[in-house]
Amino acid sequence: MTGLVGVFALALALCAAALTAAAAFTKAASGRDLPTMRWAAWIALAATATSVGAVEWALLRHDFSVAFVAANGSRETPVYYTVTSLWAAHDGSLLLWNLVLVSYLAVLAARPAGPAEHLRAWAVGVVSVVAAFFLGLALFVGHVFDSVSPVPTDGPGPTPLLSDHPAMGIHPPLLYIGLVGLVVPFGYAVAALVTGDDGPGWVQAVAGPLRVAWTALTAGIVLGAWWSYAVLGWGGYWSWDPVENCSLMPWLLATGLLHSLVLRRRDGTLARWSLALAVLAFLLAAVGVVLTRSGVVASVHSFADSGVGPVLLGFLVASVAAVLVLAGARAREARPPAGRGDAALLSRVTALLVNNVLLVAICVTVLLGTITPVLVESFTGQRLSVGAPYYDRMVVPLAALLLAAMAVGPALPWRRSDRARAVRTVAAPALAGAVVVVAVRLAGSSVGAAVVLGLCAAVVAGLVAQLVGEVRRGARPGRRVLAGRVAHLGVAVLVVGVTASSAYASVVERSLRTGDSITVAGTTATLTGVDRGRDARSMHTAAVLRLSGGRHDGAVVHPGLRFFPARQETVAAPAVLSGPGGDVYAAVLAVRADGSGARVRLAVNPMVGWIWVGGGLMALGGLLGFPRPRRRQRPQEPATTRDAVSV
Amino acid sequence: MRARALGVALVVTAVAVLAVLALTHGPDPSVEQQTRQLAGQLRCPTCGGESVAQSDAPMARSMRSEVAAQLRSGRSADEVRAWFRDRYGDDVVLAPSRDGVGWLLWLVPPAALVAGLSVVLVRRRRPSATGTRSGRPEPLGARTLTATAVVVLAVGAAVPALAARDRPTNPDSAAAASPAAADPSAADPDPATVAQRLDDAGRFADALGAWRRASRAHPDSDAVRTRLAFDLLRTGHAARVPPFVRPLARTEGSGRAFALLVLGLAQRDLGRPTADATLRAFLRADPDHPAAAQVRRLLAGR
Amino acid sequence: MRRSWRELRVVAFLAAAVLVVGVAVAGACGVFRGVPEHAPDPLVDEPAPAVSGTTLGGRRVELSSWSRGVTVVNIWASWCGPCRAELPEIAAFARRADDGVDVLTIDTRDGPAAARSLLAEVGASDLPVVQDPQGRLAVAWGATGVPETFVVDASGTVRARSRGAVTQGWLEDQVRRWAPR
Repeated sequence: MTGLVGVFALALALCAAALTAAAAFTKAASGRDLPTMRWAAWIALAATATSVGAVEWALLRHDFSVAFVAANGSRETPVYYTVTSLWAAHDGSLLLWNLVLVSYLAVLAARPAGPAEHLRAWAVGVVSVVAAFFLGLALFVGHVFDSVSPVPTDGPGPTPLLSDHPAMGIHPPLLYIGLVGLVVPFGYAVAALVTGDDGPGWVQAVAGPLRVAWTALTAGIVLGAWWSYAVLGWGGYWSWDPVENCSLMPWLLATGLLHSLVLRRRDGTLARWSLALAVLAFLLAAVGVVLTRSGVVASVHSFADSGVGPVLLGFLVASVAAVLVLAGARAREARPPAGRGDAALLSRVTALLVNNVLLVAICVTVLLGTITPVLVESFTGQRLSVGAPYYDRMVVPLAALLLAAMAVGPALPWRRSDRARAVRTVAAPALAGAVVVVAVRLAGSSVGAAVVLGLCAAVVAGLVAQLVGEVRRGARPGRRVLAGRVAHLGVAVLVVGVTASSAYASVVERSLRTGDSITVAGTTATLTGVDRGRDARSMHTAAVLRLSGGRHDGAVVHPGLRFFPARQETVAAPAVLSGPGGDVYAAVLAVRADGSGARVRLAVNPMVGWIWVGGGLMALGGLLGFPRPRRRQRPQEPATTRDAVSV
Repeated sequence: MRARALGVALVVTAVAVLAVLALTHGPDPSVEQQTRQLAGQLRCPTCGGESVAQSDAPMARSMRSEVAAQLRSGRSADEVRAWFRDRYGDDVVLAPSRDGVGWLLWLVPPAALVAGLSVVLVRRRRPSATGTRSGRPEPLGARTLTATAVVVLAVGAAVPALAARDRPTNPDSAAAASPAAADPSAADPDPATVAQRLDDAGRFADALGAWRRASRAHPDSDAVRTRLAFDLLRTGHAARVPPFVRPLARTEGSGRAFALLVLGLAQRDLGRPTADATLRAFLRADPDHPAAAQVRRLLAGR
Repeated sequence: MRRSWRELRVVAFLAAAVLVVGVAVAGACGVFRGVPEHAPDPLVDEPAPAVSGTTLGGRRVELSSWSRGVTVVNIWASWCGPCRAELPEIAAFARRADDGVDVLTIDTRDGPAAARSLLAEVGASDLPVVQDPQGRLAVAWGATGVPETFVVDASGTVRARSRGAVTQGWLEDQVRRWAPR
């Protein structure tokens, strides 16, 4: 019964999405306002929500006659993880993807009419076509609602790694809100290609959805890194895994788009470039979907091969071909006029352009490293390994240049080559950076760590200098400018965390017997015993470690391992003690059968917490920058922005 | 004027920083830190994509011990990497080597950066065009839009159809790609393997039946046919062997010698006069065959 | 001049579209097919790594010269399921083998007690076993898991490798192929 409801709801959603597309394209072609578009989108949302509700209902009621529940549900799983088990497997996560996508569609279709109404019609059309595709995928290639007979009495439960940590309820939805949200700028970009209008109306229409997607994606990626750190047992948070890269690449381009829009609002330049970024950001998200769900890359994050690969590849290729054809049709036009004259080398315009170039270069690097092994192996059979050493060597210098641009860019004059002004702007960050570089280097660090930390200091110094200047002048910067500064501060804090935790971390791993100790960086852990226990789902063993020395003197931690018999999998449960200066990270790798000892890994990771705080600041910056609700057609920010700059 | 002084100060600072960076020493990493760093650059061969530092599989732990031991004995990181590459192939190091396609990965990002920066430098110097856009751009015509829609539908349908058509439906290819430590003989053995085991155990009659099943499973395999013939011989059905094996003895290939051997022995059993000639042809075809010595003794004893 | 540049751009975009579709189709036919093992084995036809260690019986083994004939080197561990199934086969083969064939096994990342009990259980206590508690011997042989078996000829060159359990038939085939004439 539940299965039937779910299938029917999905089919209804698919029809409604198709209807929305038809209505939207009709509106776009004829200019008439069609309420059909709006209510068809709402129906699609209600239907998708119903089908998701049906699966959740079946999961919570332990209705094992539904295929998805039979494969992923269990009576022993706690309620929270039962709800989140919807997106623990491929089929169910596709339903979540659809829910997010159709939500965006409904909100976009229901948006009040604005200056870019004709664009909106085309955008709704494109988004509803994409939604129809993914709904069709879930309906025809998904097996969520298949019925199972004979009905089992219990199921294996979700993958243990995905039912052990509360982040499971937040990270995938956030990530999907971010990745799926990039379809809206894509829709608008296609609309601009079709109608030929990519003026200020386009910028205004795209800014809001882009910010939503960017904020969610930032938060999602950082949360995912934090989750990996807390759970995977080796204390790392980013391994340049292909699936991780697939969430990073759209983020890089979305960040580039955010910055290029700044220039667009100011000057009207970079029209085509912004369009290209909006398109590419979505296409890379689609590439990510293909790689993650087709089983083509081996990764701890990817879903097993689900048969969906060829269809997704077809979708990706069709999108690329469509965009190329449309762009080709437009290519005959003259280039729109350039900005208002030369921009000096040390000007904000140049800084923004350099920002875009660097972000795209990093994206190209990551794309190359992720895709080349797959392509090479499928065409020639030669196996290529691309991992952390490659990315570190290629991406870190680019990121350093990006930090440098961030340190001075926001305070530089827009275009004038006022050398005195430029030197005054650069002075504070440069001097602060130099002091930190020298200090860190003299304290015994590597050149790379010293330079990067110096650049972070330069960014912060630049922000402080700007603030001080404004206080002195009595100027109040606009909301968007403040939001950008918070985000930049977040970046600096995050990079400090990454640099410190990778350059100064100490790890020691040893087999201990009861009473033995292991020491790292001033913290000692003594094994006082081995705990064992079991609960409904798992058997767990833990090493009891007493810490001494350092900040956590006297603390007792229980890092352990949990074994889930239903799935025959073992999951690590490390113990992490966090503080502003760093973390003490204890993990158990193996426990002796007789309980007399354990193999323990103890690590001290300085300033790891700064990564999560920095990520949070970045997301906060995104939130602060949301455009005010539209009141008539008033242009919003340019006046204050110019005030903040022109002195 | 203040700006000039500041400018000078900045230049002096830059020089000072460079001097400090050049003249001071970096950290002296302990063996454990070096091991961890090096292990992070090696791929664990049995765990999907994880590095040796991340994974806790037994193989990864062995590799970490090896790295630590080599570093302690004074080898450099490059030497350790080369040692691992010799034993596991180039793809055990997590960065692509510079020969083969790898150079593309090292070349393209810096090239992209240089290209991008040059475009920025060039574009900011462009003189501004006079006036605004020349009129409002027209929306694309219905023909273009229809063409786009057709392209989307055609490509969207064609690619999955083509890919699905070429998709293997047998699980064998999946088994070939699975990790190494799986036991191939445990699950569902090939009839040829079963037959070989029976041969080894000396149970020729049973093996005969198994070879027959194997020849149905691998109808094109000459080796299977020859072994089947050999068992025919060993179970006293020498008369049926020559017609069975003669075509195999005529074709060129690695199995020819064995086929000649079986044919010759069968002819000898049947008392045919051509037996010796066949056996000599076998000796010419593969003088180093394990049975060659025995055949020579047989021919000499005549 | 300007017009021809623009026309060129149109052609470029359309050509890119065709190229992308073509590559994707070709890739789809290749990517989603199971790819056979093209990578050559790095150890086959290379000199065999040395084997040095202590056997379970306490004897010291230093095998760096291989001039005796064909040697079969098998890597196993008592915690590995397929190894437990394979050990009797190896032992039977070792017993039946001629003088010119040596069998040597390496017990990797294992404890002597567990190893001895397994050997007794499968009746293979006469098998020569070199202990490799840290797994370094297995790594030196480029093992990617257990069990793995290598066949080394008289010149000390590795000639064959089998990832996964082996049968007596395979072993005999290999020995026949690589025995000195």
